[in-house]
Amino acid sequence: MADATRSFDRWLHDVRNQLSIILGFSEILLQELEGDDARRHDLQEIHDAAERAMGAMGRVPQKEDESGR
Amino acid sequence: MNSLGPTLLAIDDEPGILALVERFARTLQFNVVCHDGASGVLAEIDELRPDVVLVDLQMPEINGLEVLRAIRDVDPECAVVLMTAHASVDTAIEAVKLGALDYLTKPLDFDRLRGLLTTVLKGIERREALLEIDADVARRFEFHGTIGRSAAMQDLFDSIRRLAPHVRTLLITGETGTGKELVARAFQQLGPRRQGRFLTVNCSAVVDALFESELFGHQRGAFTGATETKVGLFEHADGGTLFLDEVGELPLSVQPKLLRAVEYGDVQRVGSLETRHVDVRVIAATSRDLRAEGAAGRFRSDLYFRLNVLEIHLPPLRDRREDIPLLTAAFVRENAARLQRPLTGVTTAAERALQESQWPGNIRELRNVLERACLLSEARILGEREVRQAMRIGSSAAGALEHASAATEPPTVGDSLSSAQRGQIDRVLRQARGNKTEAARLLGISRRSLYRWLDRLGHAEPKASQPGH
Repeated sequence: MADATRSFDRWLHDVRNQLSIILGFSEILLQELEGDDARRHDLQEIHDAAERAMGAMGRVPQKEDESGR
Repeated sequence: MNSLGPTLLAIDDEPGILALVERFARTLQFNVVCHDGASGVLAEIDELRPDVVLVDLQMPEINGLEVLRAIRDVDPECAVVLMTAHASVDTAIEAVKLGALDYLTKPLDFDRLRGLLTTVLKGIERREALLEIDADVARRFEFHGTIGRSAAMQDLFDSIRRLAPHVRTLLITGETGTGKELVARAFQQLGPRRQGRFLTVNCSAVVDALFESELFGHQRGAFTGATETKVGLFEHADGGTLFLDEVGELPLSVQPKLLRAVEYGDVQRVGSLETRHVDVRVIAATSRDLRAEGAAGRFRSDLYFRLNVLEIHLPPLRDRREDIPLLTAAFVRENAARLQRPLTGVTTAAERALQESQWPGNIRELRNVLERACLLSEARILGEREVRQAMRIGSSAAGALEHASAATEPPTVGDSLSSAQRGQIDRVLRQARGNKTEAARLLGISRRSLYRWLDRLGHAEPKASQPGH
């Protein structure tokens, strides 16, 4: 059971990391793009989707391991 | 590296996060070095000397808190920011307790990260501005090579200005390394004999039997080995100044003749009956208590009173600690120019360490410590670690040299220390069987520092053999 919790935590951590990368780069690019750049809309979609996914990660029910964490 | 701007070290097992941090920090003019894990990076911290480290909390092998602990040990002044995709109150508290600058959760809040990195940049800029001011003040408060804004030194400079045009004989007292020769030179430069010669004789460096001949000269055939007639220092200095350093070491047998030369300007070469008249200003210096030496029968009282027409006492460095930042600024700049490196000064913690030391060797010791620290440092601003390390090396070398310097000529302390340093480095190199990386580790310095020391100490080592270069 503890092993399953640990690998679940690891999975959560890895997905958050990947979403952080998508969010981070899209934020940097959004800041760098000119206001009227045609790609801004597409980039904003990528960013918002990543943000929603990150929010959804927060709603994943957390399993408790033996230490009660 | 550090010479181009502040360095940020990013450590994360996720290459995408490293790329992101690098992309962001470069926009703030940081040099960014990335490591996809903590193993191996701790050994490099020394050479890298980052100004700020961003480290992931959860990594296989070594976690972020362990990295934070290790960095605090190596370089307590380095700012460390932890990053985590999985925040917990416990680790956040522990990170702050261990001295982390902050604890960021992923996704990274760029505004907050920008704020932190800007704080680090501003801190460096503020320090560099202060160091620039210290260097500037040091230049303003320099008086013929001596630096001091303390009341004691300002009084001293005033006395020199007032007295230099009139004084014929002078005794300068003060502990070793307080700058007695510089004061003697200031008297020469501000007096009527500034065009005349300034000759120095270190009385602790002349063999007893040769003293008389050195000071007063000798006639050909005066003694075995006197194959040519020799003009003594008094005659050489005619019309100028003779500086008798460590006059307390002068043998009793020569003292009556010196008294005559000082009092009447009469000198007689060894083996000659002819008395020659010279016009020499005599400045003597000593770190001994000549009055006590006189009472103990080791120094003639009449000579002491003749030399002591005017006495100038130089305070030890520990009694004018307010001058330490200025002296530090001047010495670091001096080394920066000599080593052709962009060194600007010392960190606040390093300055505190310098302020707290007792400095038994006074300014000379401070100067040597800073020279060593400049050789040891990889950064623009010398850290507490390098300064303390330089102080430790100095105190062990000074111990070994203390007796030797009393008996033999100490023309420049740098040379004496170099032989001790060379000895220490040779020993460690032998111990490491010639392996520079291992020798550097044993000495507690980086490999690059070791190469600089070897260059400085005249070890010719082909740089091509450097591992990893």
